[in-house]
Amino acid sequence: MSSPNRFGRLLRDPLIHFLLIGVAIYATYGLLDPTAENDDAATITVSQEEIQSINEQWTRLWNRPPTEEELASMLRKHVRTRILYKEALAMGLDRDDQVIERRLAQKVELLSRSLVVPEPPSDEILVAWYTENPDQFRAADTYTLSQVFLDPDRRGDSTGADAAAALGALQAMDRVPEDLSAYGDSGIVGSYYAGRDSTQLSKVFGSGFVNQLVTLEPRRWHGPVLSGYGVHLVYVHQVTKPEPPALADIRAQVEEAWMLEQVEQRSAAFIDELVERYDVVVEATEVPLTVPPVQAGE
Amino acid sequence: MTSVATWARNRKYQASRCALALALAANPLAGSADSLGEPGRDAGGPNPLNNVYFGEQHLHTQNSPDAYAMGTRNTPDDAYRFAKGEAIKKNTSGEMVQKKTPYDWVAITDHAEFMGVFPQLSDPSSALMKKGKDDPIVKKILSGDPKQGQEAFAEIAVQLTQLQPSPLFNDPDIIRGVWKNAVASANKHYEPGKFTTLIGFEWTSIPSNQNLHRNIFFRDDTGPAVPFSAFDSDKPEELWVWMQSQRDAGKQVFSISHNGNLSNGLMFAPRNSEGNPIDLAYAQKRPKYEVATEIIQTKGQSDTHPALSPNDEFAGFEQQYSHLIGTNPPVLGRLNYSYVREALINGVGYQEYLGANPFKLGIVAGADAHTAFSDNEESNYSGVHGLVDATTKTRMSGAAQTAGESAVNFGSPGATGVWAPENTREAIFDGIASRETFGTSGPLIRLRFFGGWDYSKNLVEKDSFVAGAYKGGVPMGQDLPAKPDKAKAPSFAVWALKDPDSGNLDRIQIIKGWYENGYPQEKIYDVAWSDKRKPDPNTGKLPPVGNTVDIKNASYENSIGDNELMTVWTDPDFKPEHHAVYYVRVLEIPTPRWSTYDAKAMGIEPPAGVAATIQERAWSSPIWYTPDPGLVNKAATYPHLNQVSN
Repeated sequence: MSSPNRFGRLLRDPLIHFLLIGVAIYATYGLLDPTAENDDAATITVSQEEIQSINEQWTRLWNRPPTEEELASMLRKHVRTRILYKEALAMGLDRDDQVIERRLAQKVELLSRSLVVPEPPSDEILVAWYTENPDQFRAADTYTLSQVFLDPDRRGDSTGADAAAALGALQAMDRVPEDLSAYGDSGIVGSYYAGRDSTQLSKVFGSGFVNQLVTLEPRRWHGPVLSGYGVHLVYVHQVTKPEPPALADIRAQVEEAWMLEQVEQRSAAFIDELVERYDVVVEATEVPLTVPPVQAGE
Repeated sequence: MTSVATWARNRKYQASRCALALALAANPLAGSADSLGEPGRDAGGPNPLNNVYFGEQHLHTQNSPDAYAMGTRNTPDDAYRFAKGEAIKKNTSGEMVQKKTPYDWVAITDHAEFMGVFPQLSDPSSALMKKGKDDPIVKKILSGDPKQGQEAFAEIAVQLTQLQPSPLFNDPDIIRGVWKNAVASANKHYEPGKFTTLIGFEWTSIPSNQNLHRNIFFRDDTGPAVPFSAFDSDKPEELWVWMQSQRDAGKQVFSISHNGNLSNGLMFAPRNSEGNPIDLAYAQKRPKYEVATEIIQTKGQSDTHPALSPNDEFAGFEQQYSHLIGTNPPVLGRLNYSYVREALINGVGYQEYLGANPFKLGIVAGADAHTAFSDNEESNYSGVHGLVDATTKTRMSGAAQTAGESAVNFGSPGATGVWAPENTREAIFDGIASRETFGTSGPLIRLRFFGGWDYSKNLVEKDSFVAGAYKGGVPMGQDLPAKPDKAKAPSFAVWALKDPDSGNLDRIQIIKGWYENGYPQEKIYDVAWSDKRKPDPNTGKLPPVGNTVDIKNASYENSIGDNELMTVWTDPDFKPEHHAVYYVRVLEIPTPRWSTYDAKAMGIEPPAGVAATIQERAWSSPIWYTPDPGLVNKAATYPHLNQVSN
């Protein structure tokens, strides 16, 4: 971890002050151990509040207050834990412990998110941002498709061969004939769907089919496309990308997304800045080709 | 989960450049644009023959105090977005979770008791935070420590079970504000025609840890001013009085009961809350308010129990949950009057005995997840109790957790199908109110069930199947029309289509219940099945469908079972003088249970004590037969219905 002089440098940094204020706020919310503040090097102070809390815990469990002896025993246990905790810190046992390391890193990351709350954006900023990032607000792509279904419950082992033959015939035609009924089996799914998005199609064909559908090149026959029902031959007539809605109609939603991105970015920038302060040395006998960049949040 | 790639192998699919002739064999059904069971589904406008809409009618978010104490911080907004198909971060694990197949509708049913109180604690400016900062329970919840959270939950549960809310948590102003926000969130996510949100809440009555919970739903876009809670009363009769006051004020409202299996014999008891035997007034009143019941959810299945249905070889399904509700609750004592099948059969007994049926119940299923996520997909399960079972490791630890149960004893959520002309709040509400619904153990199996007196044998093979079935009879949830004089026995048209992302179908069964000489009777008929199996000529029993599950790899093959099953079945044992009830159960082929998927992910054996493979299933709402009064011979006594001591 860090050397003492590096830590001194950190303490002088305004960002770190900001962070420490945050820690104090968190502590009052009970997310950090508030008792730690009461102790100096060789003194353990048990506050009235802690005693009362121990008292209450006991009372709730046993439906009566503890006797003096019981309370003393609980307090002894409590003090013992606190002392051992301090000793553990002094012995550096908190280091090289992955669980503690990750937990503390997580706390800092959490803090970095909750402390950098951006101001709401101006119209200008929002318009510019929306123009650059329309995709997450666009309705899903829609598909218009024809399909032929070959049912293994009816065709058994010849399903595959039947599908290949029908596909050959349809590909030779290179269009969608008016009547598809001669090529496959109906009864489970329809043969034509107009302007459906992937959510709607997954409700009909299942998610496996849709995962393949979105990769198909339009205006030619494809197969076999498999679903939980059987084999499909698919012709995508058209994929439509809807225009993004007018900003005025979804302003609150866009603003929310912008704010979220700001928080993410500022948190990442903050962590990046911390990372900047360190010289990262990777000791490896096998030479890695590149040192992976340190990711925010790890 | 069978991947698409392995499907080819399963089906012995081999691409080949074979002769054209094979492919072009004419098919008599070819040409119709829709599925047989769902004509008009893809036509665009409201469908008079109804479409199926899958969704969730029982879900908790951080607004439920127990969910919050379990560490859940996902909100109603998260719940709706997840149900619509978006990827959402699960706060308890940090993982992104996403449904493979989105839902059509969702009702969030947070507990009315202390609803939304705790999320306010994370807002230091809230009134509650100022009022409650020294409250010991508040302190524990804010600690962020799962153990303290559990303790807090325990203490809240005590307040709830003893119906002694601390004034801080039951502050009417706070609850009113929370309810307003919940309604606003439901309205924000409602997209008529695309995605429906129902406005509802849970009334959490648990006298002596025995579950009498009901979820309450509204048809309009405001609901009540403030929900009715168990603090107001834990007696169902008083809930009905409140519901009537809502109706008198012009609201449409119904309730759905759940977890009869954890009611210790109270949910469908032959007594009212005062301990008196059910009378005609009670039997007439209850179905006016309680239109459906949940047949399965994460805390187990409430169809029936092997001890109650000894001749039902499929009764032992998702029943490992053995405690009552609450903190350190005792183990369940009584089975009788806890299960839906027995209630449906006793219901027709009451119809004969009293002239009214108190248990005229449609069938739905749900999650009851306390995470905001309806993860009904078995291979996509991520736990239902906040921090306690958020990761594979904690789920599989085997330690006693929620209500003293190990996390492996909880099942993955169920799903509800509603037949309705369109996907709007009004249409979904009306579909449930008229009981044209079915419940599943999770997969989106499609199920139609009709009853009539003169359905032709080949009705289900015709393009006009559904139109003909509505015209010549009634859909599930209804009473058979009066028996025409010349009719010998009722016929039932049933159709089931598999979930394309789940296992093939094994069989369709019709479960018949009736009363004879004052005693309940039940019989299960296999009516349609896969793979051209032949029933044993001696026993009449249909051989098992088989099992393709590779437990070690948590995989299965759809090389057995069928996509679609359907038939018209005529009751061979019909007696016109007996009151009867009929409902359908559809079984899938065996597939891995969620715990088997988790075991594979961890590289360990599936946990002992729960099945490694399960046959997922769907249950229809019933169809009832009521004889002409002139035909009925009443029994001298009805020991299951009118004995007070139990």
